[in-house]
Amino acid sequence: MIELIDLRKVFRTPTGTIAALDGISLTVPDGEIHGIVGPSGAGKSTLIRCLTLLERPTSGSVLIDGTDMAALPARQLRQGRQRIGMVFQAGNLFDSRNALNNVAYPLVVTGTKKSAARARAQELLDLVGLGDRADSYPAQLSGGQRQRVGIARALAGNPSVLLCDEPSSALDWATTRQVLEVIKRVNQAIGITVLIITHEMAVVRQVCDSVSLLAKGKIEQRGPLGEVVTDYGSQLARDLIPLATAPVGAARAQLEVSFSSADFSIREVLRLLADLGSDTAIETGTIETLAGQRVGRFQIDVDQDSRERVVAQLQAAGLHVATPEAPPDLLADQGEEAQP
Amino acid sequence: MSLASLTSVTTVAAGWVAARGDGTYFNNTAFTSRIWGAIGGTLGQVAISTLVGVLVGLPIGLAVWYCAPEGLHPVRWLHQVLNFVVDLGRAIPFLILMLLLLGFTRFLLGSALGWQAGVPPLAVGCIPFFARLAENAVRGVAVGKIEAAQMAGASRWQIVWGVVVREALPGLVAAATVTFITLIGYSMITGTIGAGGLGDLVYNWGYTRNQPDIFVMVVVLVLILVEVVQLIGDFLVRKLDHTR
Repeated sequence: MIELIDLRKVFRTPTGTIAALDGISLTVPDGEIHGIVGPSGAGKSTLIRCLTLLERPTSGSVLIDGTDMAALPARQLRQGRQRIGMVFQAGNLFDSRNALNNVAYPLVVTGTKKSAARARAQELLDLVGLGDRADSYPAQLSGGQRQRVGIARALAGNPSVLLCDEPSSALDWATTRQVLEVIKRVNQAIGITVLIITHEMAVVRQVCDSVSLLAKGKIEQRGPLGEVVTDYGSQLARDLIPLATAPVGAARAQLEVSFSSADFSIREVLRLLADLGSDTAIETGTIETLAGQRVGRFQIDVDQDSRERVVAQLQAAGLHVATPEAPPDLLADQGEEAQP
Repeated sequence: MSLASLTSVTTVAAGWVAARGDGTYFNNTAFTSRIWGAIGGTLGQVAISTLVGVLVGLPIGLAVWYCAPEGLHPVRWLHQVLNFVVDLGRAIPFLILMLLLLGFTRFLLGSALGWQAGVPPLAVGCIPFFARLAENAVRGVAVGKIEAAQMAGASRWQIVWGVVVREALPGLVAAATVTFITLIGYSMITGTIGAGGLGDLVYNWGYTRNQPDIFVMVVVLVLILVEVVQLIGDFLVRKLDHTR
């Protein structure tokens, strides 16, 4: 279990102080895969560096299975870190060691016998589907394979928590899926708690049970995937079920209709939309299965004159209707990242 | 002109002829009788000096990196002191270092003559040189690899030797090759003030006794020597480098 309690990290710069993490509190229960998303500059990297104590937080606690890592003196930190397996964005494999010895490294440095370490490393390589590449050096592996070796290495010390820092940002989508599949398989096989830092919603959609949105050093929204996607109109719901933007004609109004299948069958929703009348048009729509739940968003176009009638009709049917605003421009915040 | 002076001129001339051997190039006995000893002397000087330079210079280079601001354990003042010492060592002109160490050499070896006498100044001069090259090599190891080792629970000692030195090994071997070849040049200088080797052959037999053929031969030999050392170095680097 991961528990962050009021975690703060303040950087001093010549022009003042910057709170990269501004009071983060977060709990990830055992066995869950939690995603942390946010635009670059939101504090994602700082958060993971504070979690691993590669960076000392300014204040607050980082509890891994109840042990406060931030309070450990340097000597015990070495042992404390063995509870954490870390998968790096760049892989960070040792080029001078083959796949097997990369995976065995955490065991060898903590005093496991070489033969036992190698046997365990081979098991882990089998687990990530690279049992036959034990003798290959990192340079001989593809990007996705390197990342899987990195996952195996992170698991070698039998950690209770797996941290993944943008594990797929350098990979194409097909390879990303493979790597995420491996993370999911590992999570199911050994019940390890996983925290994935990412800027790709697709990653969250594919593997996460719950998700937090980090912006300007704070958690803006969080919850199980099924909950945040039915929080119609919220930033995470929009990001997780994005709509292609369709142009609107003059004198037309745009409406956003959302639903989740806990309340509706898709057939029912589609019939409702089709029956709205000839002055409305379905411009674009998405239906996704997220966290075992069917959720959908549609954008419909309607004559200004019949707008009120249509809204009333849809709301009466129990659908969620909103007028889309301009999409919030999160990236514009990059410049003044996390100013207090 | 007196008979005595005529005799002395003849004697000197005879001496010249004797010193020149009975011919030039491969027929020059002054060259052929000394060349193997000279090569052995130079290689001995350079090999021992490089070894000492690596054994002492590597820990110093690692120490400079270790306490650097971006190193594993930043200690600002120590980093500045070590940096200064390394630069000071490299700043002393080799000729001055050689003369300064004459007394030390005599104390150590009982004499400042023979190829062995070239070793102390070469080794001492080589230490800061290799230390700087080693520091540059280990600085090239990606920070992420060190962080990965930290997360794996490695101690600092394990990180320095098992990750940093190991990952930088191709670069370190390349640095040792550069050092070895550079020392061949410096070892020639030691020959001019009494240490043996190719420098002694060139200066005392080629230059002093005006035998330009010895110059030519030694230059060709050193060229071959440099090429062979470079080939061996490159071969080792290729063997150790798993990144391509």
